[in-house]
Amino acid sequence: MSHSPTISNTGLDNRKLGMWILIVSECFLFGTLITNFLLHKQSILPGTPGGTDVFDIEITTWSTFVLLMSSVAMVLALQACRQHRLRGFQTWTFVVALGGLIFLGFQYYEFSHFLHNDFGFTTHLFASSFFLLTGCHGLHVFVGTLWLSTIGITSLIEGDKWFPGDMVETAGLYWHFVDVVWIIIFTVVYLYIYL
Amino acid sequence: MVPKAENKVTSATKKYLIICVVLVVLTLIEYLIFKIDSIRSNALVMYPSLGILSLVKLYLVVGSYMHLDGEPRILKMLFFGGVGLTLLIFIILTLTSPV
Repeated sequence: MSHSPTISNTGLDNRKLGMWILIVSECFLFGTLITNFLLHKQSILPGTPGGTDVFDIEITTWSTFVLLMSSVAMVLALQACRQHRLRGFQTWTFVVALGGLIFLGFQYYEFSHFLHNDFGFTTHLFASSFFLLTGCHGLHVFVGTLWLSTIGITSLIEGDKWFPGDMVETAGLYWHFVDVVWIIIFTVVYLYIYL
Repeated sequence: MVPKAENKVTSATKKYLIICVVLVVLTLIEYLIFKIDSIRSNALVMYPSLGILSLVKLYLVVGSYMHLDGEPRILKMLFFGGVGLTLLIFIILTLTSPV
């Protein structure tokens, strides 16, 4: 009996199963980083700026909006891929990558603003845990952007014969997870800190 | 007459766009809650309201965009088991931390 090399003995595509396992392990990573941040919420040295002194919620709300929009573009890209609509697939994939780049731009601006206000990685434990958490998330956005750009560029080169539905679905799962993590960071790090 | 498959796709796109609008509105509500001083200064209101909004957003993204709603039980168990363990890590670290 022929057996697909990508189907595991659970009956699931092993790439998809692998991505879900990665997502669960990422839950542990971000869960630990968020806990670390919350534990050091009050660890601010006297005379140094804290989160409420430097955070700009308007900017963060905009970057949250951009990431949410890129998640919508991601499901539309997957849908276009499954329907074999090449142009739609390419367009939405590049919209997602663009969303990732804009998000990273916001993060770069935000970090520069913080550093300009003497809020750096070594200022105090609060700042260290903040940069560790948001920097780690930013790194994930960067990897996702790179991955989706590669898929988009390969599709441009290969043309009609290339519709990697499973790969796009796996990349999509990763991208949505990165969005989910940001939803938590936005509330726990940026909004709860004012309480 | 619109073919059945095409009809399904159109309704899926509509669903994704409706969820997108809901996500944007929820984020806007979060921002407004934060901006209103009387709510912001009241931890009893702000903590649960922002927490609930966040959970609704998580549910929408994981359920609909990550399609976990329609996935086999094993994937749901894997994901929710992982989330449960993450919460356990949070509780253990919080209770045992010297900070």
